[in-house]
Amino acid sequence: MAIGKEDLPGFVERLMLDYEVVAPVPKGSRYAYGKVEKFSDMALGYDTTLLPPKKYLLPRREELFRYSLDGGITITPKVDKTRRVIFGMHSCDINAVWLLDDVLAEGIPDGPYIARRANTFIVGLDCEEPCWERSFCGSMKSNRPGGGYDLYLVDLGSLYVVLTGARKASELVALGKFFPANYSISDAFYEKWRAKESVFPDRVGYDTGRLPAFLADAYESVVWDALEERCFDCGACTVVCPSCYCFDVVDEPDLDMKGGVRYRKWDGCQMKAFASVAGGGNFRGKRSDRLRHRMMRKGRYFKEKFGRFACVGCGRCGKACLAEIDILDVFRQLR
Amino acid sequence: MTTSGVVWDGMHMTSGNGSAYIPRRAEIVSVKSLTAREKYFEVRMADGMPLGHVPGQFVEVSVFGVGEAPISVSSSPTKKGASFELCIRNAGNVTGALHRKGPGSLVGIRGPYGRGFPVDELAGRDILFVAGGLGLAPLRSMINYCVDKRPEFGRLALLYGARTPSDLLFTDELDRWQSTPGFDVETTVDLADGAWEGNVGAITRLLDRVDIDTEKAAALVVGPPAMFRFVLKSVLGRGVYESRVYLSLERRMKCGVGKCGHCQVDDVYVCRKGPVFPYTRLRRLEEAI
Repeated sequence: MAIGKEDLPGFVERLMLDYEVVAPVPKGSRYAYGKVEKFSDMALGYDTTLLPPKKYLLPRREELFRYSLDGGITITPKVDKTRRVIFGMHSCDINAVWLLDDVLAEGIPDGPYIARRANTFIVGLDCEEPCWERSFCGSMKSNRPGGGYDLYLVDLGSLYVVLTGARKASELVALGKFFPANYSISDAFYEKWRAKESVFPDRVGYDTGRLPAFLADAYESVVWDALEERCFDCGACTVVCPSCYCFDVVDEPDLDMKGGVRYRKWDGCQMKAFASVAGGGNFRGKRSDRLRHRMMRKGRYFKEKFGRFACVGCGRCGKACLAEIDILDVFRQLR
Repeated sequence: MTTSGVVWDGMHMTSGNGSAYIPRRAEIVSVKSLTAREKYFEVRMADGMPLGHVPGQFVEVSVFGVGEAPISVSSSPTKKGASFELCIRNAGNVTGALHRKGPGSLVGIRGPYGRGFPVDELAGRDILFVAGGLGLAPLRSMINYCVDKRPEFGRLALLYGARTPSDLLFTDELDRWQSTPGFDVETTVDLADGAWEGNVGAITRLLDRVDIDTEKAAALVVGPPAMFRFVLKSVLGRGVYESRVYLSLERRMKCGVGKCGHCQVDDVYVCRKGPVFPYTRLRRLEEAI
């Protein structure tokens, strides 16, 4: 399937009639996902957004329910029914959402996430080159989307080739002037698709298929002790990570104490109290243990469980870290 | 509570909106002080339904306006009536708020969650219970299960250690268990007071006093992490098979459903794969003990 470039603004503005459309917009010298009112608001030539698009699926603060205590207890679940299109998502972030989909649906499903996800459409936009010098999506195999998207646009000059992912994509397709791709379009697409290998070179320095084994071998490594001396426990790495989903749950009573809300908020395994229990015990009280846990999750645990890395190589954590701890450097050192 | 199904495109599952995090209403039926720090609560679900737990599982208890805490269920599912029991130490905000509640108070309950003791695999065996401190609370569920189904199990033995005599929990039941045929109960304390005439010192010293066939027995161990290390050494040293040693881990099980991340041990969510684990599994988890 394809769409002419001249028809893209019409498609997006048609989407805006039925959905809230969010997309990268300029923010200072960087970019952030925000609500857009017209096609020209979008900054589709963006590199990487400050925060990943997970904020629309797992809001930083999300009300779970309201309780009222008038004699008994009445619990009213909060349900967000916003129908939203996230437009222009890069493949790294799409792959991270794809992982969140697996993690949060697995076992006992995360109801609020599932409900939002069912109403969220993702239109991806293929990257022309690595976002910056320390992006390593090529190494983490996330420079192409594996799943999680509805539509994925690949720029072929005068038109976009459009890949369709999830079944609900047909709802979007009906709203634009899409047409079947002929052989010359599909040939041009595959040529560009294959060339991504060289456009997004490996930056880790070895086949990342070996990363889980390297991390397992490094369990007792001094790497973690060296990082410990630099880390401030600020948790910025987990805030900007597109695949971090851990949360804390907090009750907030109304001023009259007759009711209130229970909400959840982003939390991260780098925070000192993350694994502490009532009575004072802390099962990951050492900073080096917390750093190791994060690296293991990003490069090993999810790969072993779901077959995909939780780290998508977007480079945000390295950029956000005040101490310049970069997961890319850690992966490189493990060889 | 809404359970309006949302079918997610292409996925194999359906889900209610937020249902995993919505507590069910429950009422505190009775409260009893066990020690200066621990109280015992009898709780009944507002809909009158039994909890439907397995010994060793836990529930998330809500005090609305304060928060939620994971608490192991202390009563056996074989107990008569629809209520269940929780033994709660006043150790934090939520448990402190619970300690101020009396009969008739409403709380929220989610669960039961996690994997408890493998009651079917344990049937027919001698069972060695080893409890340190508050570890007796979850073990009591399994102990009473065995006592209620006495013919289905072999010999029973409980080794129970507390800090001081006044920290001993369920003292009336200790006597009842001791008088159960084929059940040896031994207690010890770290620090004795004047009136104490029982054992003082390490719990492992009690091992020789109980009559069980260690090669055919299962050992269920619940207590603080430091206790795990030396109890494991003694229990395994006495010939209990590694695959028949079960431990229950304490962790910060905030959500109970394997999402929030707080209870993770390496790649394992304790709230889902535990809190009860066979030692053969825990041995491979570096962060476990």
